[in-house]
Amino acid sequence: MIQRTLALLIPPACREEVLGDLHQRSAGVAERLHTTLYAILSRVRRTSDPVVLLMEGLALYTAFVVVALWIDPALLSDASGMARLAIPPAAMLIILMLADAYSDPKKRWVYKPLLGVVLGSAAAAAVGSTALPRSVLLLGTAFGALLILPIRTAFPPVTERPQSITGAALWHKLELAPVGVFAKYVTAAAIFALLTLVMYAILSLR
Amino acid sequence: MQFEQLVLTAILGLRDDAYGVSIHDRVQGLAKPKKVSLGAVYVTLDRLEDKGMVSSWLTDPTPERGGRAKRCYRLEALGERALQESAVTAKRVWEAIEEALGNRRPKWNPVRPK
Repeated sequence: MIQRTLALLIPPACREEVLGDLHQRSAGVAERLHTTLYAILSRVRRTSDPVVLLMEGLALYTAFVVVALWIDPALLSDASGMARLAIPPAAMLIILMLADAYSDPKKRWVYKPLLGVVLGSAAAAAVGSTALPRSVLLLGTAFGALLILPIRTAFPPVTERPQSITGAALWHKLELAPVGVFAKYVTAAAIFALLTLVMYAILSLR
Repeated sequence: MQFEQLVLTAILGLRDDAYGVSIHDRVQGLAKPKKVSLGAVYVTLDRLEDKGMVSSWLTDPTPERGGRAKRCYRLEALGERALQESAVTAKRVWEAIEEALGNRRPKWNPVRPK
Protein backbone atom coordinates (compact mmCIF):
# COMPACT_ATOMS: atom_id res chain seq x y z
CA MET A 1 0.00 0.00 0.00
CA ILE A 2 2.77 2.47 1.04
CA GLN A 3 4.87 1.41 -1.93
CA ARG A 4 1.98 1.98 -4.34
CA THR A 5 1.35 5.42 -2.87
CA LEU A 6 5.04 6.31 -3.17
CA ALA A 7 5.01 5.09 -6.77
CA LEU A 8 2.17 7.50 -7.52
CA LEU A 9 4.13 10.35 -5.93
CA ILE A 10 7.04 9.96 -8.37
CA PRO A 11 6.60 12.42 -11.28
CA PRO A 12 5.52 10.58 -14.48
CA ALA A 13 8.55 11.85 -16.43
CA CYS A 14 10.95 9.76 -14.32
CA ARG A 15 8.56 7.18 -12.81
CA GLU A 16 9.52 4.32 -15.14
CA GLU A 17 13.26 4.26 -14.42
CA VAL A 18 13.00 5.16 -10.72
CA LEU A 19 10.48 2.38 -10.02
CA GLY A 20 12.58 -0.06 -12.05
CA ASP A 21 15.73 0.82 -10.10
CA LEU A 22 13.92 0.57 -6.75
CA HIS A 23 12.49 -2.84 -7.74
CA GLN A 24 15.89 -4.12 -8.86
CA ARG A 25 17.46 -3.03 -5.55
CA SER A 26 14.52 -4.46 -3.54
CA ALA A 27 14.52 -1.13 -1.72
CA GLY A 28 12.80 -0.76 1.64
CA VAL A 29 10.19 1.85 2.53
CA ALA A 30 12.78 4.32 3.92
CA GLU A 31 14.91 4.18 0.78
CA ARG A 32 11.82 4.47 -1.43
CA LEU A 33 10.62 7.49 0.52
CA HIS A 34 14.04 9.15 0.35
CA THR A 35 14.47 8.45 -3.37
CA THR A 36 10.93 9.65 -4.16
CA LEU A 37 11.59 12.94 -2.37
CA TYR A 38 14.79 13.50 -4.36
CA ALA A 39 13.07 12.55 -7.63
CA ILE A 40 10.30 15.11 -6.97
CA LEU A 41 12.75 17.88 -6.03
CA SER A 42 14.92 17.18 -9.05
CA ARG A 43 11.91 17.25 -11.37
CA VAL A 44 10.68 20.52 -9.83
CA ARG A 45 14.13 22.03 -10.37
CA ARG A 46 14.18 20.84 -13.98
CA THR A 47 10.73 22.08 -14.94
CA SER A 48 10.78 25.40 -13.04
CA ASP A 49 12.22 28.47 -14.67
CA PRO A 50 13.12 31.01 -11.94
CA VAL A 51 12.61 33.97 -14.31
CA VAL A 52 9.16 32.80 -15.39
CA LEU A 53 8.25 32.06 -11.75
CA LEU A 54 9.33 35.57 -10.78
CA MET A 55 7.17 37.03 -13.55
CA GLU A 56 4.20 34.92 -12.44
CA GLY A 57 4.72 35.82 -8.79
CA LEU A 58 4.87 39.55 -9.54
CA ALA A 59 1.80 39.35 -11.79
CA LEU A 60 -0.20 37.50 -9.14
CA TYR A 61 0.81 39.81 -6.30
CA THR A 62 0.07 42.88 -8.44
CA ALA A 63 -3.38 41.45 -9.24
CA PHE A 64 -4.22 41.02 -5.56
CA VAL A 65 -2.89 44.48 -4.60
CA VAL A 66 -4.85 46.16 -7.42
CA VAL A 67 -8.05 44.35 -6.46
CA ALA A 68 -7.53 45.25 -2.78
CA LEU A 69 -6.89 48.87 -3.75
CA TRP A 70 -10.14 48.88 -5.68
CA ILE A 71 -12.45 46.99 -3.33
CA ASP A 72 -10.96 47.18 0.16
CA PRO A 73 -8.28 49.92 0.47
CA ALA A 74 -8.31 49.54 4.26
CA LEU A 75 -6.60 46.18 3.79
CA LEU A 76 -3.49 47.89 2.39
CA SER A 77 -3.14 50.20 5.40
CA ASP A 78 -3.53 47.24 7.78
CA ALA A 79 -0.25 46.21 9.46
CA SER A 80 -0.34 42.69 8.05
CA GLY A 81 -2.40 43.50 4.95
CA MET A 82 0.42 43.32 2.40
CA ALA A 83 1.65 40.04 3.89
CA ARG A 84 -1.86 38.55 3.84
CA LEU A 85 -2.19 39.51 0.18
CA ALA A 86 0.91 37.40 -0.55
CA ILE A 87 -0.60 34.16 0.79
CA PRO A 88 -2.82 33.20 -2.21
CA PRO A 89 -0.11 34.06 -4.81
CA ALA A 90 2.39 31.91 -2.88
CA ALA A 91 -0.05 28.96 -2.83
CA MET A 92 -0.74 29.39 -6.53
CA LEU A 93 2.97 29.48 -7.38
CA ILE A 94 3.62 26.26 -5.45
CA ILE A 95 0.78 24.51 -7.29
CA LEU A 96 2.04 25.82 -10.64
CA MET A 97 5.51 24.40 -9.89
CA LEU A 98 4.07 21.04 -8.88
CA ALA A 99 1.73 20.96 -11.90
CA ASP A 100 4.71 21.48 -14.21
CA ALA A 101 6.75 18.84 -12.38
CA TYR A 102 3.94 16.28 -12.56
CA SER A 103 2.94 16.92 -16.16
CA ASP A 104 3.61 13.91 -18.35
CA PRO A 105 5.91 14.88 -21.25
CA LYS A 106 4.52 11.98 -23.33
CA LYS A 107 1.00 13.43 -23.22
CA ARG A 108 0.72 16.41 -25.54
CA TRP A 109 -2.27 18.61 -24.93
CA VAL A 110 -3.12 22.11 -26.09
CA TYR A 111 -4.63 23.18 -22.77
CA LYS A 112 -1.77 21.83 -20.64
CA PRO A 113 -0.57 25.30 -19.51
CA LEU A 114 -4.14 26.06 -18.35
CA LEU A 115 -4.36 23.04 -16.04
CA GLY A 116 -1.80 24.48 -13.62
CA VAL A 117 -3.59 27.83 -13.61
CA VAL A 118 -6.95 26.22 -12.81
CA LEU A 119 -5.50 24.06 -10.02
CA GLY A 120 -3.46 27.00 -8.73
CA SER A 121 -6.53 29.24 -8.65
CA ALA A 122 -8.44 26.63 -6.66
CA ALA A 123 -5.54 26.33 -4.20
CA ALA A 124 -5.24 30.12 -3.87
CA ALA A 125 -8.96 30.43 -3.18
CA ALA A 126 -8.83 27.63 -0.60
CA VAL A 127 -5.68 28.80 1.22
CA GLY A 128 -6.55 32.49 1.22
CA SER A 129 -10.09 32.05 2.53
CA THR A 130 -9.07 32.76 6.12
CA ALA A 131 -6.58 35.51 5.30
CA LEU A 132 -8.52 37.78 2.94
CA PRO A 133 -12.09 39.04 2.47
CA ARG A 134 -13.99 36.83 0.03
CA SER A 135 -14.47 39.54 -2.62
CA VAL A 136 -10.74 40.41 -2.70
CA LEU A 137 -9.81 36.74 -2.74
CA LEU A 138 -12.08 35.69 -5.60
CA LEU A 139 -11.48 38.72 -7.80
CA GLY A 140 -7.74 38.69 -7.05
CA THR A 141 -7.55 35.01 -8.00
CA ALA A 142 -9.51 35.57 -11.23
CA PHE A 143 -7.52 38.68 -12.15
CA GLY A 144 -4.24 36.93 -11.29
CA ALA A 145 -5.19 33.90 -13.39
CA LEU A 146 -5.90 36.22 -16.31
CA LEU A 147 -2.53 37.91 -15.93
CA ILE A 148 -0.49 34.72 -15.75
CA LEU A 149 -2.30 32.97 -18.60
CA PRO A 150 -0.37 34.89 -21.30
CA ILE A 151 2.89 34.30 -19.39
CA ARG A 152 2.30 30.55 -19.31
CA THR A 153 1.22 30.50 -22.93
CA ALA A 154 4.34 32.39 -23.96
CA PHE A 155 6.64 30.34 -21.71
CA PRO A 156 5.05 26.88 -21.46
CA PRO A 157 6.54 24.13 -19.29
CA VAL A 158 9.59 22.51 -20.82
CA THR A 159 9.82 18.71 -20.80
CA GLU A 160 13.58 18.56 -20.95
CA ARG A 161 15.99 21.39 -20.39
CA PRO A 162 17.89 22.32 -23.53
CA GLN A 163 21.36 20.81 -23.57
CA SER A 164 23.92 23.55 -23.94
CA ILE A 165 25.47 21.87 -26.98
CA THR A 166 22.10 21.55 -28.69
CA GLY A 167 20.45 24.77 -27.57
CA ALA A 168 18.34 25.15 -30.68
CA ALA A 169 16.49 21.94 -29.82
CA LEU A 170 14.60 23.80 -27.07
CA TRP A 171 11.80 24.67 -29.43
CA HIS A 172 11.37 21.02 -30.37
CA LYS A 173 10.98 19.98 -26.77
CA LEU A 174 8.13 22.23 -25.67
CA GLU A 175 5.11 20.40 -24.35
CA LEU A 176 2.57 22.35 -26.41
CA ALA A 177 0.88 20.54 -29.23
CA PRO A 178 0.21 22.64 -32.34
CA VAL A 179 -2.81 24.84 -31.63
CA GLY A 180 -5.75 24.13 -33.93
CA VAL A 181 -8.21 26.76 -35.13
CA PHE A 182 -11.02 25.37 -32.92
CA ALA A 183 -8.81 25.44 -29.82
CA LYS A 184 -7.84 29.05 -30.54
CA TYR A 185 -11.51 30.14 -30.78
CA VAL A 186 -12.47 28.24 -27.62
CA THR A 187 -9.55 29.77 -25.68
CA ALA A 188 -10.33 33.28 -26.94
CA ALA A 189 -14.01 32.89 -26.04
CA ALA A 190 -13.18 31.57 -22.56
CA ILE A 191 -10.75 34.44 -21.86
CA PHE A 192 -13.30 36.98 -23.11
CA ALA A 193 -16.04 35.46 -20.95
CA LEU A 194 -13.78 35.43 -17.86
CA LEU A 195 -12.71 39.01 -18.47
CA THR A 196 -16.35 40.13 -18.83
CA LEU A 197 -17.24 38.29 -15.61
CA VAL A 198 -14.39 39.94 -13.71
CA MET A 199 -15.28 43.42 -15.00
CA TYR A 200 -18.95 42.86 -14.14
CA ALA A 201 -18.04 41.66 -10.65
CA ILE A 202 -15.73 44.65 -10.04
CA LEU A 203 -18.35 47.13 -11.23
CA SER A 204 -21.15 45.55 -9.21
CA LEU A 205 -19.04 45.49 -6.02
CA ARG A 206 -18.04 49.17 -6.21
CA MET B 1 31.56 19.52 -8.66
CA GLN B 2 33.24 16.68 -6.72
CA PHE B 3 30.11 14.53 -6.72
CA GLU B 4 29.53 15.28 -10.40
CA GLN B 5 33.10 14.06 -11.07
CA LEU B 6 32.31 10.80 -9.31
CA VAL B 7 29.15 10.30 -11.38
CA LEU B 8 30.93 11.18 -14.63
CA THR B 9 33.73 8.75 -13.75
CA ALA B 10 31.19 6.02 -13.03
CA ILE B 11 29.44 6.57 -16.38
CA LEU B 12 32.80 6.56 -18.18
CA GLY B 13 33.76 3.26 -16.56
CA LEU B 14 30.42 1.54 -17.06
CA ARG B 15 30.19 2.41 -20.77
CA ASP B 16 26.98 0.86 -22.19
CA ASP B 17 25.77 -0.44 -18.82
CA ALA B 18 25.44 2.96 -17.11
CA TYR B 19 22.00 3.27 -15.53
CA GLY B 20 20.63 4.30 -12.11
CA VAL B 21 21.53 1.22 -10.04
CA SER B 22 24.89 0.48 -11.69
CA ILE B 23 25.97 4.14 -11.50
CA HIS B 24 24.96 4.28 -7.83
CA ASP B 25 26.95 1.13 -7.03
CA ARG B 26 30.03 2.46 -8.83
CA VAL B 27 29.76 5.90 -7.18
CA GLN B 28 29.32 4.20 -3.80
CA GLY B 29 32.60 2.37 -4.40
CA LEU B 30 34.39 5.55 -5.46
CA ALA B 31 33.07 7.63 -2.53
CA LYS B 32 33.91 5.10 0.22
CA PRO B 33 33.50 5.36 3.19
CA LYS B 34 30.92 8.06 2.50
CA LYS B 35 27.39 6.77 1.95
CA VAL B 36 25.68 7.85 -1.24
CA SER B 37 21.92 7.76 -1.73
CA LEU B 38 20.23 6.73 -4.96
CA GLY B 39 18.25 9.98 -4.91
CA ALA B 40 21.42 12.08 -4.85
CA VAL B 41 22.64 10.18 -7.93
CA TYR B 42 19.37 10.95 -9.77
CA VAL B 43 19.61 14.66 -8.93
CA THR B 44 23.20 14.78 -10.19
CA LEU B 45 22.37 12.84 -13.37
CA ASP B 46 19.53 15.30 -14.13
CA ARG B 47 21.87 18.25 -13.54
CA LEU B 48 24.58 16.74 -15.75
CA GLU B 49 22.01 16.13 -18.48
CA ASP B 50 20.85 19.75 -18.23
CA LYS B 51 24.46 20.87 -18.65
CA GLY B 52 24.82 18.68 -21.74
CA MET B 53 27.55 16.52 -20.17
CA VAL B 54 25.56 13.29 -20.44
CA SER B 55 22.66 12.12 -22.56
CA SER B 56 20.09 9.45 -21.74
CA TRP B 57 17.63 7.05 -23.34
CA LEU B 58 15.12 4.48 -22.14
CA THR B 59 15.71 0.78 -22.86
CA ASP B 60 13.13 -1.98 -23.19
CA PRO B 61 11.44 -3.20 -19.98
CA THR B 62 12.95 -6.29 -18.30
CA PRO B 63 11.39 -8.82 -15.87
CA GLU B 64 14.11 -8.42 -13.18
CA ARG B 65 13.10 -4.77 -12.95
CA GLY B 66 9.41 -5.57 -12.49
CA GLY B 67 8.67 -4.92 -16.14
CA ARG B 68 10.14 -1.41 -16.01
CA ALA B 69 12.64 0.14 -18.40
CA LYS B 70 16.13 1.40 -17.59
CA ARG B 71 17.32 4.92 -18.31
CA CYS B 72 20.83 4.50 -19.69
CA TYR B 73 23.38 7.31 -19.69
CA ARG B 74 26.25 8.10 -22.03
CA LEU B 75 29.07 10.59 -21.57
CA GLU B 76 28.98 13.40 -24.12
CA ALA B 77 32.01 15.29 -25.44
CA LEU B 78 31.39 18.13 -22.97
CA GLY B 79 31.35 15.68 -20.05
CA GLU B 80 34.53 13.99 -21.21
CA ARG B 81 36.28 17.34 -21.48
CA ALA B 82 35.07 18.37 -17.99
CA LEU B 83 36.31 15.08 -16.55
CA GLN B 84 39.71 15.45 -18.23
CA GLU B 85 40.03 18.99 -16.93
CA SER B 86 39.18 17.92 -13.38
CA ALA B 87 41.70 15.05 -13.61
CA VAL B 88 44.42 17.50 -14.72
CA THR B 89 43.53 19.82 -11.82
CA ALA B 90 43.61 16.92 -9.35
CA LYS B 91 47.07 15.92 -10.68
CA ARG B 92 48.30 19.50 -10.29
CA VAL B 93 47.01 19.63 -6.70
CA TRP B 94 48.77 16.35 -5.96
CA GLU B 95 52.05 17.62 -7.42
CA ALA B 96 51.76 20.80 -5.33
CA ILE B 97 51.26 18.69 -2.19
CA GLU B 98 54.27 16.54 -3.08
CA GLU B 99 56.40 19.63 -3.65
CA ALA B 100 55.29 21.24 -0.39
CA LEU B 101 55.90 18.13 1.67
CA GLY B 102 59.36 17.61 0.17
CA ASN B 103 61.13 14.63 1.77
CA ARG B 104 58.01 13.77 3.77
CA ARG B 105 56.55 12.76 0.43
CA PRO B 106 53.51 10.52 0.96
CA LYS B 107 52.82 7.47 -1.16
CA TRP B 108 50.15 7.75 -3.88
CA ASN B 109 47.54 6.08 -1.74
CA PRO B 110 45.96 8.84 0.34
CA VAL B 111 43.77 7.63 3.19
CA ARG B 112 40.88 9.67 4.49
CA PRO B 113 41.82 10.99 7.98
CA LYS B 114 39.71 9.58 10.80
